[in-house]
Amino acid sequence: MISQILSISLIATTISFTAPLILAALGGLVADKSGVPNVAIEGMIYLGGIVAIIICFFTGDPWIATFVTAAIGALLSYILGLICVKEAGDVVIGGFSINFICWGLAPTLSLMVFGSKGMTPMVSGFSQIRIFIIEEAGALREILSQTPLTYLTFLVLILLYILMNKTRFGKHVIASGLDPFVADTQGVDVFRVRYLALMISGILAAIAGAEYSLGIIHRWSLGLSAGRGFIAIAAYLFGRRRPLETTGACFLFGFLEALSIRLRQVLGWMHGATEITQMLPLILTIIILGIVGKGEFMKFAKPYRRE
Amino acid sequence: MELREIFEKSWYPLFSAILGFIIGTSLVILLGINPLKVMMILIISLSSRMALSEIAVAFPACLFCALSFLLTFRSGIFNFGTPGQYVLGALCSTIYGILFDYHPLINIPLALLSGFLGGALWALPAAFLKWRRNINEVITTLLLSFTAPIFGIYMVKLPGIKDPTRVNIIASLPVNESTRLPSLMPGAGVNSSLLLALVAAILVYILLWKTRMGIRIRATGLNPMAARYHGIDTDRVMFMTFLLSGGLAGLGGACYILGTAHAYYARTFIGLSGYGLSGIVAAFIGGIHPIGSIFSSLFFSALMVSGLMLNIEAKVPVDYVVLIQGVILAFVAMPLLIREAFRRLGGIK
Repeated sequence: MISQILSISLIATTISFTAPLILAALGGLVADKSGVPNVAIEGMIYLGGIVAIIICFFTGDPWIATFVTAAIGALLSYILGLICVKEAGDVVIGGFSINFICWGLAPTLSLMVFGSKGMTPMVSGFSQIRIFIIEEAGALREILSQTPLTYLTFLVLILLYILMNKTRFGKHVIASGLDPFVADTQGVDVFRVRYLALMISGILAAIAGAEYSLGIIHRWSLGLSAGRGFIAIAAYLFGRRRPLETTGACFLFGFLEALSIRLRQVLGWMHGATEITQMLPLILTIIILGIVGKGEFMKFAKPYRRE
Repeated sequence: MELREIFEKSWYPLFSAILGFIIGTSLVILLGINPLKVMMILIISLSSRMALSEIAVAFPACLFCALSFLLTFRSGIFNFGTPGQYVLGALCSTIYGILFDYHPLINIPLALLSGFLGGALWALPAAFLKWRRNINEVITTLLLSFTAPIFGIYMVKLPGIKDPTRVNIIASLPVNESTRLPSLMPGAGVNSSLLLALVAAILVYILLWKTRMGIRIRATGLNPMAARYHGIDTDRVMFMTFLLSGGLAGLGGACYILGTAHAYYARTFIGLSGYGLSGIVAAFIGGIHPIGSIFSSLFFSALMVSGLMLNIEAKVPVDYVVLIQGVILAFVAMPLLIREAFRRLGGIK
């Protein structure tokens, strides 16, 4: 039975589930580094999923859908910036207001457009890239046949790493997160940096939503995000707010998700297997946070207001 | 807190509630619906007798969740686990109500107690991790909230609890007659959970402002460092408040099951929707005060009931109400903006 679970397709599923987590978690990390944690990642994934499905349903082009979704993510995080950066509102309350708006809007859109609140029709979305160099169906081919967005994710990972570590903007982000007052007096436009960081996070979270809906399940349902936005936050907290460690944490959480799906297929005959495997990643995330997380690095930053 | 002071402080939340309601409803224009029509439906639908009895049903659950949230907020914790604790309270009281059948005088309190314990149990992991490991409670409570409805489905599917006659939906057996809360107005759905919720609000008020424990809770919330130097065991205070808050949300779920639904229907407990979320917004609009929450819970339970009418009249789903709540919450997060608006208007302070 163990050989049934630990197969090559488990690795492939792990990668496809890790990619959106990486997008959401690294975006959240950038926002967090700038001093305004984005608590609304969950809602942005949720709404991004439905927007991507709607646009793809009517235009038939997943790339246009992805761009529109990214724009929606940018818009939402701009509103979040208005609340948390411009008006110096509480980060958690402000983030949750966006979450509420997304939780309310997504089922509304689903009902208005498709006539069903719980689920949308299937959309072809992104198909998996075939690597032509590898002809025979082997392990490598199965692992590498991912959607284009998954490949894009790893490109974004490298770009973000360069952005945060090699550019002036990255330094500004870290400075305004460490001490906004000092950064402001040194000539860093803290507000602009925080707006941009939030928008990066919003765009990436919305694309992560599109990745779940267009790339993995090919439809939107009420349980599309099911706490994954918070798992992404947990991932960067677990990764101690460092990009590489965060990526590692995302792989761990992505593996847990893939494992739970595989277990659902293998143990499907058992009573309550669906529910237990659905709960598994969420509960294990809490346990992992409980084991490794300790101390000050779990705190959310306070908003900054110019005197 | 003096009554005058409550009145003055309640201006800001009230203003943000009205502003949020108007802007939130106006957003339907993006969906191609006339916002005036929606606003009319939301207000007119409340005049019917049926709507009033529906509000009386929704109100206790909403108020319990609001009390649960504000209690922890006063001690400096965000308990976003209210939706999950609400589900667990409903689940535990259902299971008790199916399995045990004593005299109502014993059985009703015990069923409520099991709901309370269920809610507290679901707050326990987050509270423990906050206490011992200083883990951010926003993440843990939310992950637990997402787990709760799935756990509910798992438990309700167990043999002996699942109703075998219902094939299409996942539902539990009805709870025994002896655990059902007595009705106050026959035929109108108004049951004694209404009184229970009001009593709970007064008890929370007494706890927070008239007892030594309440001083500890508020001191911990205002300035944990200072509280610690005054000899208050802040970690323990947070832990106890957290469990109590979970219990209150659980009581909300228990009241919903024992008072109205009489059985656990899995589809009413999907995701985070429901009274748990409304309770959080209601606590903010109530000025994080138990007495204020009574009025704000009334407003939000009315909003949820009229949201049901919105579904029938304008084909806008109930979930649209969550969006309106989100817009209201956005204005709550911007007190400085509201204050500035007041100053421009030449109003209070």
